[in-house]
Amino acid sequence: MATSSVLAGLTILIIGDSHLATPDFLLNPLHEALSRQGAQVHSLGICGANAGDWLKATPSPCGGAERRGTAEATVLVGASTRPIGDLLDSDKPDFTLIVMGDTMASYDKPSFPKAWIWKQTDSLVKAIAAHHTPCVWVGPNWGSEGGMYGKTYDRVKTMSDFLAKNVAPCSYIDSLQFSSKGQWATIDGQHLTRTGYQTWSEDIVKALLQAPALKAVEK
Amino acid sequence: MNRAGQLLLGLATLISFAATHADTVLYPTGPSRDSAFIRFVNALDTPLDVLPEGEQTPSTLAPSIISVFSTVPADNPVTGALSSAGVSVPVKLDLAPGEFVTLVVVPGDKGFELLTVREQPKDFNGLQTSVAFINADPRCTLGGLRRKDPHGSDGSQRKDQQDRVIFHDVNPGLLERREVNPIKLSVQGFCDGPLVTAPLNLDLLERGERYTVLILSQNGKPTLVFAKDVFAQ
Repeated sequence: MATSSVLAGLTILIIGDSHLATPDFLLNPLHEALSRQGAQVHSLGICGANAGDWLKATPSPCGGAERRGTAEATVLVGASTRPIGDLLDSDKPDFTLIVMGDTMASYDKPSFPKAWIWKQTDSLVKAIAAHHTPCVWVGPNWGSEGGMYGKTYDRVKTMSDFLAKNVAPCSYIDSLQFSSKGQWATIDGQHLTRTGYQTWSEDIVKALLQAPALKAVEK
Repeated sequence: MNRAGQLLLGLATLISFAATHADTVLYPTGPSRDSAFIRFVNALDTPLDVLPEGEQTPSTLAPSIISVFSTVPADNPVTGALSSAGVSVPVKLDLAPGEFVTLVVVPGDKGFELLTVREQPKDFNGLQTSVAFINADPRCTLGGLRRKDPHGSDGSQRKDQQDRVIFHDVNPGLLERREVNPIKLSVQGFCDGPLVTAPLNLDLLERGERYTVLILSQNGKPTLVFAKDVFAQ
């Protein structure tokens, strides 16, 4: 265990969408990478969740998964989000990591619903800010175009740029910087292969160590 | 292992991983129904009852009060009624996806009339402070807003006035919005001509927040009112 890491001893809450809703997608690699840095991690992924769904318990259309500390990940039956205020009250994390973007991007529709997305993201970051908990938001990766969700590089860039400007006071990690378009293979256009999730996880941790929100926690 | 072998192994791993997760249920990306947002402003000198049909809760607005925004589905008209001092007017309004509508109730010949102010935001930027100016005074042509002169002069010097202008040439029923630095701000409204409103202290504007300043008529005089753009939960 690399206890010299700035993450050592910190409690981290991770919430997110489908990328975290299956143990061997991003959930296990990221959870384990942060645990190896000495952090106490609670990961909760709810498939299909939008940012605003974390304000109150919202059932998932497609499942979820959860992992606490050194315990194994569990696949949730009847998965639903939990209100972010309740999670912050019970976990009292040093910071919250949010992995979300693809679920709100409207890949299969011609228009980008920016007002709706703004309302979703703004309400979540304000709820976290009200608890005075630092936060870091991890945006979507390139994935590959097409597939069952109709992802396009133009739209994922629009989504990522939008999040970069609208998740303050959370710090933003731009996952598009981690690879070139289509470099990471996907199984359906949106969800990565095991290797891709491993690489994404490593890149997130590297970026996290440089995030301004983490610097605030160190102080 | 040679390159062909590595490729075959990679392909086999991908097929195995994909097969394991072939039952991933498709979920929607983005809203199944896009949203729009509506709020009300009482520019009368009597209380205003907002009586929406459907799931929204009725409310009463005191004079010069700006309501919170309510989120509504953009594919259905907003219907209901507005009522004040014994006069009731039905409302039926179509909102475009992503549109922000401010319905201002102003004095009129039959008790009151409605001024519908529409905004389709070009952008959102949580790193800046966003201020909108709405001209809700039907008699205030070429309305505007400028920073109050910190030295308290009468503002008669034309160049000085121009330097302090934040919004200008906004006619009744229209809205302009711009980003400003998150600073302490005190403002005065103006119309075409020499008349200016009393100064209004906006206090410290917060980064990432959106605000609205309205100019409306109170006792026949243009007056400023101000609110943070807040949403009903």
